Amino acid sequence: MLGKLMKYEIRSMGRIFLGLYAAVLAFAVVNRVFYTLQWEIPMVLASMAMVLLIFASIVTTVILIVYRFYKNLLSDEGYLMFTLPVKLDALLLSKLFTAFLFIFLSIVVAAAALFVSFGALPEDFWQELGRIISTFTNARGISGGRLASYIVAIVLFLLLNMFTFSLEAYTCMAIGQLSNRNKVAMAFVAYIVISMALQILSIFVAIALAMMGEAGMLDWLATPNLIYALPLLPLVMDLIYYFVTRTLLKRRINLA
Amino acid sequence: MATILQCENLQKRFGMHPALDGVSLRLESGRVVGLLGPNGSGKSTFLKLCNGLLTPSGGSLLIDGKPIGVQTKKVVSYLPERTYLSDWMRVRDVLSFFQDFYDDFDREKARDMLARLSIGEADRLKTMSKGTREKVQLILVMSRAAKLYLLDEPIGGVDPAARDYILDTILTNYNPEATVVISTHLIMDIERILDDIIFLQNGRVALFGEADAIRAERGQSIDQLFREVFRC
Repeated sequence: MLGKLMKYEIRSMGRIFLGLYAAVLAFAVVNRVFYTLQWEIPMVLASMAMVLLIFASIVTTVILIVYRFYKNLLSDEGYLMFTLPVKLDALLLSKLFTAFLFIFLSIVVAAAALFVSFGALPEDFWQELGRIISTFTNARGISGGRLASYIVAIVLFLLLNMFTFSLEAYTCMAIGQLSNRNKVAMAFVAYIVISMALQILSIFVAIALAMMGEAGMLDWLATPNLIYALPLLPLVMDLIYYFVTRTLLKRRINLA
Repeated sequence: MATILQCENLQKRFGMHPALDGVSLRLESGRVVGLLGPNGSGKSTFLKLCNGLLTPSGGSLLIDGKPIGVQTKKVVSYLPERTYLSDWMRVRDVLSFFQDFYDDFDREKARDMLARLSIGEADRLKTMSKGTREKVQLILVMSRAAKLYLLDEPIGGVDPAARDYILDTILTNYNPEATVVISTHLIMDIERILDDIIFLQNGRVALFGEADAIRAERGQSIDQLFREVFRC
């Protein structure tokens, strides 16, 4: 069922993105042509257009993820989706995984566009990057296997963060739909409240760190396995958001 | 004759307002039931509860002996009062959608009915008139071999000829072992096809019985009785 739901999700969202991605890549190719031919002015214009399009595709991705959830589950189409003989988890995960897919794709397309227009990164760039990494790893006495697991931890952290945005939006909308008359307004209120709560929490964490004093803090940061805790932050947030969304839609669904 | 729907003291409150105030019913299979009442009496709320689109504030509700969930959704075919299909889809996309998710969906039957109305498979829902979209939805709903059909105001916004078509479609397509619940306030049109009647007033059952028996007992049509009971 999840697969079938995702099929329709991807089709519905893909319709809009395909055109946008194609435009971005088309401009990247055009840019590359201008770059090779050294036509300055067209190159500048084309680069500007491309950057705008990349920006547009990221903004579109964000807006569409929120809009799709709302339109398909919480407005008229919800009458169809919630009466399908599928589990609520399948409905939610199909949205979440598709959102992740398109966030990932928009990043890949943006990177590809930059790569295509401005050519391969110069030798120096890779050398410099290698130097920075080895300075870091040598200072910590990290090698081989440890480095690999460090990278895994960081990659996991980034991936889990890609889910967090969608889940936070879903949670706000699930809270919003509780209201009988002001679903959208309630969702915004929920968003503001959650953002403020998270801000306050990070201030507390910052104060706690500051109280350790500079030496204390550096010691703590140098804890060998601290980096493995990094992915836990978004993981916990993601799980909380998912649980709240699911519970609200299971027990307190309130379709207009 | 099995009991397809059973509810006991079913309640639903929206804030302070009680939309359903203790509804107890037992519907048998193989009947065409009219859920009748004025606007705001709780008809749509009741149907939404049966479909899991709302959760009750109190009481119990079982369909085919089970609580509302994936299992009941498999055997309930629901036609809401609104367009619930994605605008951008074509007719054949919607047919595939129903086929994908409902094992009891008869695609051939749906295609026949659509063809008879000259609705093309490549037509986009967005380009159809409201009446045509409603007919498409009705055809999809009635092409499922469900145990319980819940139709919310199926003849509400359409012209008299379309109404006849819709009622005909319902009658010729429903599985005789299934129950059809039609919620409406246009009683004159559907009276002839109803086996049982439920009058819903202010979220409570004011009357429940066999249409023929009620007509004989009161010596009037259901429509006349309705006007009397719900006089403003």
